[in-house]
Parts: sequence; C-alpha cells; structure tokens
Amino acid sequence: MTKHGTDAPQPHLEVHEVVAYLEGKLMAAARARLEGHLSDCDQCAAEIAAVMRLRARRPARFRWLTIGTAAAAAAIVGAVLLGPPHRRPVTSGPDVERTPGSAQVIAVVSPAEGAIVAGHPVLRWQAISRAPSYRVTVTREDGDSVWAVSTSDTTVTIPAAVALTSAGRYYWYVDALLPDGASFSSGLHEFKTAP
Amino acid sequence: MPDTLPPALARLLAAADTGERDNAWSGFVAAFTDSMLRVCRSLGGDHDAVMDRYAFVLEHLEQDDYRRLRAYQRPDAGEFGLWLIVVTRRLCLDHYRGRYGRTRGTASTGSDPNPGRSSRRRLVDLVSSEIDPENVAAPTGTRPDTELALAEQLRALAAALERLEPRDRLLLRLRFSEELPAREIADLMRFPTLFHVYRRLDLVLRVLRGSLRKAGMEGADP
Repeated sequence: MTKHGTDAPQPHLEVHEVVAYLEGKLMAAARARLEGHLSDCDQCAAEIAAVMRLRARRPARFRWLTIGTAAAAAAIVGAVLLGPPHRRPVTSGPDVERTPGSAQVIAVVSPAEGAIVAGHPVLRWQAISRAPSYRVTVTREDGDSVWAVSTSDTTVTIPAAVALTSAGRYYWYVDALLPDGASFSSGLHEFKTAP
Repeated sequence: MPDTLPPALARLLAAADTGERDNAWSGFVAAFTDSMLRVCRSLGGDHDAVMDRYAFVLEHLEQDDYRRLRAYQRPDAGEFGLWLIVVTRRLCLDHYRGRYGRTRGTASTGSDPNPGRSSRRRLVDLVSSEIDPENVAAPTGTRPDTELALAEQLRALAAALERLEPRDRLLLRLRFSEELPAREIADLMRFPTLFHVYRRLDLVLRVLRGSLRKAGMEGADP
C-alpha cells in the first residue's frame, strides 16, 4: 500500500491493488486485507466507487470535500431531533442511481413484507403525485425477472399466466420516473407463495 | 510485465529517439484521450477547469521519461484501461490539492492521528440515519438529557459498528456512503447475486438495531 497523490502520509491502496480488486483477481487473503483497509478508509473506498462508476460510464458522484465530523454530527443530531430529511427503506431498492433530492420512496401497501400469499397476489402501493406511470417488476429469488408491467394505476394483479411456484420466495419493486427526471422507487419487497 | 502492452503504450515505451518518442506520445494521447478526458470531466468544473486538469495529467504522464506509464510494466498490473483511469484520477486529485490545498476532514490530511476512527465516526452518522434513529431516541426537544441520550445512542452504534466484520462495514460504506448500486456491490464484493447484497445489508442492519436494543435503546425494532 502507498499514499494517494504525492503528499498524503497515510498508507492507501496501490494503483495495481485497486485494479486487481476491481477486476476480482485477488486471492482470498489479499482480498480480505484490502477490504479491511477499505472498510475504514474514506479515500480508498471513494476511489473504488468512483472508478466503478467511470468504468461503467455512469455519472460521477464526486465530493471534493469530505463531510467533516462536526458537520456530520450536527446533521445526525438534526435528523434525530427533527426527523431525517428522507429515509431509504432498509432494503434499498433496485439499481436506480440515486441523486440528491430524488431518493424518494414509494410506500408499499400490500402484500405485507414477507407475507405468504395464496394464488396470484395483488400488489398495491401509494400514489406519487405527478407520476405518469409506474413500472412494476417481480423477480424470483435468484434475481430473474418473472413479470414486469407498466401501469398508471397503483394496483396490479400478477396474471394467472405467470407461473409462481408454490412455497416460492419472490421479490417485487415499483419504480416511477417523473417528467422532470426525479425517480422514485419502492425498494425491494418480498412475498412468499403458499405451499 | 503484463502479457501484452497496448500497442500505443508499447510503441511509446520502446521509442529509441526523440522523434520516434514524440510520434509515439501523440499516438498514445490519441488512443487514450477519451478515457482520460472522461476522468477529468468526472471531477466537475467548467470546460476550462477540465482542460486544465487534462493538461496537468498529460504533463505528469510525460514527465521523467514516462515514469508513471512505465510503472504499468509489472506482472500484476491488470487491464491497462482500468489502470489508466485510476492513475488519471489520482493525478486529477493531485492537481486539485496543488491548487486548493487539502480540505479539512479529508482522511489523509495527516492532522488526524487516527483516520480509521474518524472514518468510522462518519459511518456511524450515515448508518444511524439508516436504522431510523428517531425511533430509538426520545425527541422531546433539545434538553440536555435528550442530547445526552443521543450521544449515548451514537456511542452504542459506534461500538456496534466496531464489532462488525470489516467486510460488513465495507458493505455499509459502499451502499450508504458511496451509494453504489447493489448490483455493482455484488460484483465488487463477490456476492453471488444482488439479492445476497440486500439480505446481508438487512442482516447487518438488524444486528446494529439489536445492539442498540441491548444497549437499552427502546423502540429499536428491526
């Protein structure tokens, strides 16, 4: 490990280590050592994420300034006392790139999280004002899509033609994209089919 | 040395005289301009700022008989395009620091005797909003006892984070601090599927909530 740039005193990942980690070429022990460093190093973790984005040709999310501890503490005090400005669900949703101001959540109404459903369930969520339509996706446990549909309604029933295995575990999510580019997502939700 | 160097790089590093080297350098720049400019643009700023950065990158890649590019010649260097992205980005950061100096709070300022600890403090702040701290607090105003309770909660959360495996802390960092999509986290951290990422996140957050509950924080229901 070495330093970033020319005058940083703290040891950071070498260029070839960053590349090897991103390429998945490290042996288990080396990988564990690097992940140990990344878990505690803002700078290297940010570098890994930035290079991932650049490699994927996605928009950058770069902060020249790392949030200072005092500022962050003030933010969390505010969040605790006044309520956070927004919250993501615990199981944050599908791979929607979130941008500041657009990380908004579609509240799911039913089925309840992890509920066991009989037959083909009805999926319900709360409306987002100005959303012209929603995209609903249902996947199997392994991530393969089972069914997807676009709708302007806030309720869909999974059609009988969609084969759901008994005692299966399924995930579903709803996305909405507004005309101004803001995105909403329900995050990932789970239901199980009856045995 | 890597099995094969990209032709433009091989030609540059093998150039025998100044004329050949200049031609090879032009060829190298032409071959990799898109990639380097993309990195320079990713750091923000207007056209002039981007071009300043780009000029700085080229100048430093050319410096000392292409010392930085020669550093690629090692057996474990990996794919050159990716390697160049990392090197270019680091040079861009050097350019910024040279111009504006380091910023307070940056992990590598050297003024922080324990960057790992301050980094974890930031993670505490991020994760505490994720696990819904208003449910574990009693937000009755800014009375000293409320502030004390909040400080206790953050301390308990910091201790719980400290007890996590580094890999789980990294997972939280990539998801909530760097906001990487779960699919990319799965690729990076070798999870079999993105659902394994979601499940692990869920589990880790449950562990943290459980730790808060054990520490006497009421209402920290998973």
